Amino acid sequence: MRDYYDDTWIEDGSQPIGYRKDGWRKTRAVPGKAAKDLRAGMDIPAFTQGPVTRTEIVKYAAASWDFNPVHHDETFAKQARSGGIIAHGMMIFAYLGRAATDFLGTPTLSKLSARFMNVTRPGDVLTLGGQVESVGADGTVILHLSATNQKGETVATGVAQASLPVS
Amino acid sequence: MTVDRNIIGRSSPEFFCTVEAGKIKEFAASIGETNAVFWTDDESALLAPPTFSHIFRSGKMELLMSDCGLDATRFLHGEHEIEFHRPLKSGDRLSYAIRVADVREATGKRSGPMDIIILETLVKDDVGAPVQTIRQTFVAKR
Repeated sequence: MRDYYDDTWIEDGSQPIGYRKDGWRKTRAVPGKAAKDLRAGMDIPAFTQGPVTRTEIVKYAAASWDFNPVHHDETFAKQARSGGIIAHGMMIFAYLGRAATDFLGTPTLSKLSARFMNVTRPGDVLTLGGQVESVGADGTVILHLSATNQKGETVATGVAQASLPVS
Repeated sequence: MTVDRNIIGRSSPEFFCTVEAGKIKEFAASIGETNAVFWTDDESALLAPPTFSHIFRSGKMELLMSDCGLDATRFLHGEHEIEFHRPLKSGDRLSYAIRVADVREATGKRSGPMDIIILETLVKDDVGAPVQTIRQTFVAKR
């Protein structure tokens, strides 16, 4: 395991300005699954992501080389159609991908798609989850994924497909 | 303004890049990804998270849309599909071009008439074998 440090600040007003969170992250081994472990209709254990902070959005901007100011410049973003800073849709897509690779226990998917329905703003808390759509006799597994915000709005839905060992 | 269907088939120039281990880890950190397969220091075994390849294309879709005479700011990113032909890993040397795959009109129940543009990117490795096919749908209200 290779642990890493992810500089993280408290930005939700719960602490005086200038407080850092403990940024040490432990990497983890994700156990593999076989198609026989899965059944259609099975729920993907939900996890939460957030509250999304401006700093996280800026990290994603830097990591993805997407510097559209609507994602980091409040003055610009207020005048744009978004009416304020919004997260990259692709950042939410990455969370859907994580939901799929964590649940299936394989980093290798054969397909991943997303449909973007609502924007994510700083402070939003997302719940990632979904269900197993189908399990084929050849080990092909299809998942339905979703990201929902704290207001119950669907932010994005997705589909993941992977070929797992049959047993 | 109706989008001219003659732009179907228009393509960006071909772009080239190398998948770097440090960039994979920076990307993994930015999405809260702690799965050890995206963090190994064994560079020959380091895989990229599923949506990683998007970083190489940031801004280039908008550039192609501008080249086609479209106002890219009108368009919203509606759908995104990635087909993986093989795993993407550290050290891969890639080439890719973005192509206008289709232009359509649609009428939304609430939003009224819309223009839809589908961009397709075929990502290949250094021997020309396909790595990923990416299809993105952009939507603009009239």
